[in-house]
Amino acid sequence: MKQLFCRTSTITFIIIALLGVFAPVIVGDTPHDIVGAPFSRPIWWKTSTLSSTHFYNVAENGIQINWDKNAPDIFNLTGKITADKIARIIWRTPQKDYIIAEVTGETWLNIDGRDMIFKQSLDLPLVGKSTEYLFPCSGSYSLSFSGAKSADLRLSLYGARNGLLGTDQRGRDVFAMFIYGIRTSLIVGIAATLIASLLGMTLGLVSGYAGGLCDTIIMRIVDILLSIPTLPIMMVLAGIWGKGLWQLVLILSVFSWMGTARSVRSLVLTLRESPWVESLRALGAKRRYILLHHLVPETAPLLLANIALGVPGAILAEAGVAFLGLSDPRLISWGRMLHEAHSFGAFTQGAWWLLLPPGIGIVTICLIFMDLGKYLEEIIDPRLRAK
Amino acid sequence: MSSKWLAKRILASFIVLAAVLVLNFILFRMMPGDAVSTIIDPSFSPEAKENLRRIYGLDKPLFEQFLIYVREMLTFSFGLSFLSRKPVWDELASRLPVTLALASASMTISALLGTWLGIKAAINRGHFAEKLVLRASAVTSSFPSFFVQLILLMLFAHTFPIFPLRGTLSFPQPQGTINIFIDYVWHLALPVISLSLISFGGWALYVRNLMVRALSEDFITMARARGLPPNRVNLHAFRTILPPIVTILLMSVPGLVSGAVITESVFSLHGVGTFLLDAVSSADYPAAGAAFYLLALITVTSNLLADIAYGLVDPRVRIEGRGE
Amino acid sequence: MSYKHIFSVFFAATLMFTALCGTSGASSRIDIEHVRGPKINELSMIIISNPDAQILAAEAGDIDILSDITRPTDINRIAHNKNLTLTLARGMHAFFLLLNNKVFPWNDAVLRKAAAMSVDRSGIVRMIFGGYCEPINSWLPPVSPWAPSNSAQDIYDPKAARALLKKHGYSWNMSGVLTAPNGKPLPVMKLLTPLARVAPTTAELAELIADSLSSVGFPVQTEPMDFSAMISVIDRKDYSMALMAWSMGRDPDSLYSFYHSDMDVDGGYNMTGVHDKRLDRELYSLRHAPDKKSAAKYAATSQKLLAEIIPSVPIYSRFSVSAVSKKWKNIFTTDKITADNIWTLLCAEPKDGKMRPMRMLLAEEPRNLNPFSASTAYSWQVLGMIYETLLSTNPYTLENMHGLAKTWKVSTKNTTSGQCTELDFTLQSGIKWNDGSPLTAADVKASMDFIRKNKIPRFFDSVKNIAYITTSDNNKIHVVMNGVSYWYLDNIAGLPILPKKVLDAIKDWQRWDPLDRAGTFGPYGLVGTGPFAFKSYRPGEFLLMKKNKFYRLLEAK
Repeated sequence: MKQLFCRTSTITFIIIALLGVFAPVIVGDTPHDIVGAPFSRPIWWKTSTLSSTHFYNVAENGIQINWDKNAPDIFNLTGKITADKIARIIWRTPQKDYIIAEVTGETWLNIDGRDMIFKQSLDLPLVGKSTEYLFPCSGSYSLSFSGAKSADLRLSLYGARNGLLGTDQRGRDVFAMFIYGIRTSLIVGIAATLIASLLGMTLGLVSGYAGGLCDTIIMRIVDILLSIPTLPIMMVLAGIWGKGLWQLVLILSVFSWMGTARSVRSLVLTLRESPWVESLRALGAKRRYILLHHLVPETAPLLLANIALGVPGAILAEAGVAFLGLSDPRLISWGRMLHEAHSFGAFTQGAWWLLLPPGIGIVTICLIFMDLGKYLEEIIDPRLRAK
Repeated sequence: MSSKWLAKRILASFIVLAAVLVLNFILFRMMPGDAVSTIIDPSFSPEAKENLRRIYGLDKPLFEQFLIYVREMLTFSFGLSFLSRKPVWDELASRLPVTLALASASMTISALLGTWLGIKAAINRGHFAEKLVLRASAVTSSFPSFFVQLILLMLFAHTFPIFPLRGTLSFPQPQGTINIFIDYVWHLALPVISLSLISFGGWALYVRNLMVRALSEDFITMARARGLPPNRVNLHAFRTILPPIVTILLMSVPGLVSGAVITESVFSLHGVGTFLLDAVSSADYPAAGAAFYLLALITVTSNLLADIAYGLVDPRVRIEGRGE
Repeated sequence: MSYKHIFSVFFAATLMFTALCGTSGASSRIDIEHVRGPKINELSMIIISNPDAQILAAEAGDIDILSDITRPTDINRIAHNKNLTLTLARGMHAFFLLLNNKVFPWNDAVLRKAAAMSVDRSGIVRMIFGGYCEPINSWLPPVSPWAPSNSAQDIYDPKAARALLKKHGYSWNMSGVLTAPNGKPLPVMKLLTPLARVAPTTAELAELIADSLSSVGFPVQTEPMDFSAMISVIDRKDYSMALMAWSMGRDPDSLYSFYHSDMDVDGGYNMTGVHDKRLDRELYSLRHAPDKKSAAKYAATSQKLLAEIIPSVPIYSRFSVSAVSKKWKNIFTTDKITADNIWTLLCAEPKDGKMRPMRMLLAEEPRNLNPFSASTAYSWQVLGMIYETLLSTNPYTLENMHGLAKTWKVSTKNTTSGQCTELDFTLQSGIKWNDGSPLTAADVKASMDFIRKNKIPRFFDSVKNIAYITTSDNNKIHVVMNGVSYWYLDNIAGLPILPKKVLDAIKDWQRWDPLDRAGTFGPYGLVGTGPFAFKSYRPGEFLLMKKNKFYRLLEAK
């Protein structure tokens, strides 16, 4: 047992599980929040470009900015401005001046470079980023007012680098979502496999030991379930039962107990005929006693190995369902992150930071459980151990 | 092989098939809404919708629908798809080649490669080769298929555009059968490589375990003791593990089609997988029903064949049922 | 924090979209009366369903026309591409927040109005669509000639929404949740949204809408579900709020389907369950308006009433964006249609003068090319080039213009059993089918009769009110309808016209496969009058079209 706890995979698993449990402490409890521009790179990647967010508070006397980076992704100006008659807000670039708004009286502004009306009022092309025109080169820029009595504005410029692992197509923090994804994968993987294994063990025991009609029925059910394509049927069931976390666990467990049931059954079949159980029976031991006290313990290592080897399957299945876009969108999971990366243009953006973290996450967890499973399998059958 | 056992086994397959048939019908009807109710088009009045329902046969009592469904399935005349109003059979037939090519190519490659590596690992126990095979197998088989595919696609179709992004045919179409064939292979290379990559590991591990067990059997030890050359010994051992390999090969067939769903949607292939996905998500009963039925048929047949193959070599199964 | 969107409102009113041709701006006004074409001999439609593959194919020059680019990052990316021109136009697509008008709390118009003012549309447009959408405050998309002028206004004003609620006796409890005047706090409401596979951005949109509403005190939670499941829940009126997008026609007649109490039946589209006598009256008058003038009048009054009642909350309308290769000239765009239109296909020529096939994207498999049973937009993207209708749409105004018919007239006739609408069409002379035989009025009549006789669901609503059809002179069609409606014109003039000889030879309209050479259920071939004729189709890969040698607008040799 001690050996088990000293394995690298066990230790890694514990670390990952702890990360998942303490996710709110590590990355805050709002992983869905938009923190920056869409498809921002990780902060440590291509560090010469403009990083995360730059805020400037602008009063009525305007502001001067010296700019030596590339254009920001988002140009946003919010706040209150008061004018006697008519006030103009002027954005001065080294190449050209833009009047970005004309206001009268007291006005709340919420101007954004992405708005069509903004692009049109500045006579900029309607497609493409307006910031490329607002920041054409490095040099001195200024935001100033003419005719403003008072101004209390905030200029926000979002760069294309943000967070440990960048942002996704909405500008959400990939790192936060990655950490939250641990929870889903682990819960789905472990819960579904536990349920499936218990189900499989019970039915396998019953089927193997009782035999007869009971055995036939259970084995036919196994055959039937094995004859239905898993992924499409999960889509159908998700349509009927819903797409939440626990529904997913339920659906996955219903379709993954058959293997365990078969192996437990065949083990019981061999055990049942073994001289040792025969002798127990001859001594008058009750069926229940034999089942609980001798057969269950005998199948336990097999079951453990099955659980460990089953978890990767369940995790991959969850990822597959999520990847096809069939899971609850509020549920952050690695499969879902890959789905979004695939369907919202991570490819054309070359946004590897959206693909690699969730993918490597899935692989790591699967490897950990496969290693544990292999370890347990080798305990059952020492011949398999690598020399 | 006793014919009684065979008859019993075939009967059991039919029972399974019948159950899947009934289950398919019930499951699809349990999904809320139908193909007609999801039409949101103001030029479709309730009257026109009722009309459409009549054409689809959804206005008939459920039991009558069931009888029609059973008749269609048994006669393999699956009717018209709700979505495309084309015979389901035609559409399936036009999509089958891609899926078959994909499945057979990737299965052949992964099975051959996996078996070869598994045997190499087993006969080189304790060597670096075994460790390498074990590690590589474990790592590759824990990759989600779509992740591998996305990465390959990004690397070799976008960053370094060596392979095409989609489909099975270039445009303009190359001239000449040989060129079209080369084009086809070029298009299917990435999907096949990715599928082989994620499934050879499972094979290698499985074969290695079988082989290790076989090599420690008494008769092999005896053979060794008798001074048989290692190659002959290994061949002997391999012969004994051939039946389970064939069995697993047959039993992995249905999974290939299921796996095609994801592969085909990543590589935009015109195959059965994407057909299934579309059919299920749009409540296209005839199309989904037919696809499920054919899949079940493939599964049941390959399981039956696996049993027979196993039974041919190992008479014990006929009494005990297949052990795993 | 609340913003008073004076700035947005100020510009929205002046936003006329006069030159929405994106970075091109090159397209000078083409006189549609004198267009001659198609110039190209062949049109290759390449089937690519994966959006990444679409973009990369366009960038690689494998595709000349790429329609319907929806992802903002793609638009920004292509804007940089030297070989592609982007064109942008307002679209027919509109997105709504549906409220169940039948049950508490949305049975109160004040609350619905406050909700409409609490949704931060501009924020949504920025965050989800990168700006490539417009906020709407109308029940028809702003591009429709029937929509009011202020239809693209963002009425977001949470401060005013709070004030309005306060004025009508609503209050907020300790935790900031709205409480009705009768002291009942609002229950937690589920906002139903279709799942990602159907509508990729809707779930995120729903979150933003829920956040917006929650900040004013509406207790809203999002609930993603299967589209079909959602529809069945809405059909039973067993919901509180839901999100739904639909592509509307330009005609305001659709408002009847969505908001008249008669349509609150099984399978009807009155999903909000609104029952309002005044609205019913206006919508009824709109549906049965005898002429264009009264149609315009009732379209305006109906929409004004809708703005008062607010049965559902309009959120945004998407722009359609398409990219065209710069290797082609005479690309046709207006502020109302993007470059991927039939006029472009008629006018376009390679800039270098070397004629070659034009390559256009087909985003999904057309699957079925039987004009009577094909229902997807992708089938019709193909069929629409082969079959023509009596009238077509003016790309500058979206009003009717001549098609197969040269002139048309809508009139009201008094009969013994009341009034009815009569439609008169005169066909253009000398039109030929793409097999060389001439088009006559008998073909038009046969097409309508075929649809009527077989009750073909897709066109059923258009023909169900036909009383009888007569033809004279080989080029005049006279259609008498049951009852009065101006919209009968658009219904009838929108039907595809097929040759009589083909229709007569169809044995089973459902199973007829025009691509089946054996002709099991009907004749082989797609015989139409449109600019292109079918050449070949390879499922999953491409569909090829060739120039119709007998097309009516071909340049005289």
